[in-house]
Amino acid sequence: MSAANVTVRPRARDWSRVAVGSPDLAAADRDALGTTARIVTWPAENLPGMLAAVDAELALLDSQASRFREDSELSALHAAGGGTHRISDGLAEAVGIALAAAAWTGGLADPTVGGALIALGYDRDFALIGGAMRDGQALARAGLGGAPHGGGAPHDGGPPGGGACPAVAVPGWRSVRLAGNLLTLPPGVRLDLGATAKGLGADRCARAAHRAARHRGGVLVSLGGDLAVAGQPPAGGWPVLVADEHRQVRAARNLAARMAAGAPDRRAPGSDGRAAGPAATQLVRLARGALATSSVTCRRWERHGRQMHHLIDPRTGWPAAGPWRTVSVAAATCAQANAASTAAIIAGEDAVPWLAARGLPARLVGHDGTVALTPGWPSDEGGPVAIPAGDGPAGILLGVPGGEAGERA
Amino acid sequence: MADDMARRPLRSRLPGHGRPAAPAAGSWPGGEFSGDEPPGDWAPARPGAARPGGSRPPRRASTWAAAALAAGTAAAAGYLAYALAAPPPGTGQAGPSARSAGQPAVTPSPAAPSPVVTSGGSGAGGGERGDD
Repeated sequence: MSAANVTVRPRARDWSRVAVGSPDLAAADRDALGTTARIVTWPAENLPGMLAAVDAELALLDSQASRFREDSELSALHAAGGGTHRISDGLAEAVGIALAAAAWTGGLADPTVGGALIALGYDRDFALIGGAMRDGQALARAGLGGAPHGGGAPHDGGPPGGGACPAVAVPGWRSVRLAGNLLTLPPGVRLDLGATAKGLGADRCARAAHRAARHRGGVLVSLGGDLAVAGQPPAGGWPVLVADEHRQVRAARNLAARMAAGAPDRRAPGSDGRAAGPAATQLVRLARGALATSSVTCRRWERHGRQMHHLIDPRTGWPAAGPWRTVSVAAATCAQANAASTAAIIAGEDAVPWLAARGLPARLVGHDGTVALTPGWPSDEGGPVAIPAGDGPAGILLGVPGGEAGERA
Repeated sequence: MADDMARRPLRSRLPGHGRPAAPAAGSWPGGEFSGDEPPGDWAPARPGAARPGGSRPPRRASTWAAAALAAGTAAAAGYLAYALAAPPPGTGQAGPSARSAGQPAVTPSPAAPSPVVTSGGSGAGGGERGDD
């Protein structure tokens, strides 16, 4: 496969302007990457020039790293089977960051969970997945026939709480090698870059948008709630509403729209997305860096009468079964924040000390609604998030493949 | 009219009344001066020559005006230097003189009173639009 074969198809560019409560700011939404992309910028006249720049970045990332598009570079790589392939610079960056994230998280955010996700039924764009998957259907789609792949053994422990269906063992990120633009995959290994690619996309889009505005003012780019900022923030930082479960996201969106229209913030316990108890939504302010949220309350589907979600524990091949249902993490880059929030869901009880040891501000919401905060995350409503000043793992922070990916070279 | 004239105060002659009128610019009075000294005590002094009455009041006034002008200029320069270096009100950002050459102009950040985005995990078909 040749990187020269990759083409960027024009996508529907149906941006919709949205009100964000200030005439000095402008914002727009569009569907992208199976979720919603949002740009918010000031001064408002920056917006038109940014849309095209972000469109180009989104189209490029989708054409390179989507496992749901048959014509993507990643799909072509999977179709070609195992072996060594020369890949584009963009996909090399995405895979390199995914491997760096795997190394940094001790293998918890592992890009080789693609086969396990397919086996569990997440084999297409989530919007196309039906409510229930018949037994064996997903494995047949994956071309696996229920057999283990990548040399691993089937996980027969079943999902937490018991279960009859077999899981597919995750081959592990160390089975993948990336040397420059040469990617070597074992036969049958399917990559899923979901733990980092959306964050990488937000980072790329924020940089591109700020560049398009000739570094004037500031911009925030959100891809499904994983967001990165660039340039000068509004006074006090970008106001971001952090929500817990997906119903809160929808209600919080409505609340934000009403507040943008001038209505006062009248959140009351149990209404407007603010659940009773400590797991209510929280307004924070982000002056720089990025913020990502991972949750098991969204992207859920049913198989064998069981609820599945998209965050796979590579140690078991099953959806993570830890105590946290939603984790929000702030970091220097969105790729790093995205990897950390995913790893924290999978890490379970170890998540809080793991995040704190790395100086990452985070908000963790348990299945019982309790909230845990790590240092740097504000405890008060509207407080600033303290992004760590130090560099994170070089490969993630700099977006340079090979920073800490030990399997490269 | 006659009464008005009668009520006017008596006029007195000023010192020097009756002397020749002051010369027009560029001409010497008398027109026939040929000596070292100009006629009369109103002639301009030569450089270095002492005046009988000392320094003229206009010269002292010019000294004060120059001093006031210098003080005003210094004050204006000081204010401008302060105004350019001070951050714009309410921003905490350095003013235009604080930025390096080649950097874009820093303008005061606007306020963003309400949330501009929600972070809560990406839902299918729309993290913001909220399609469950």
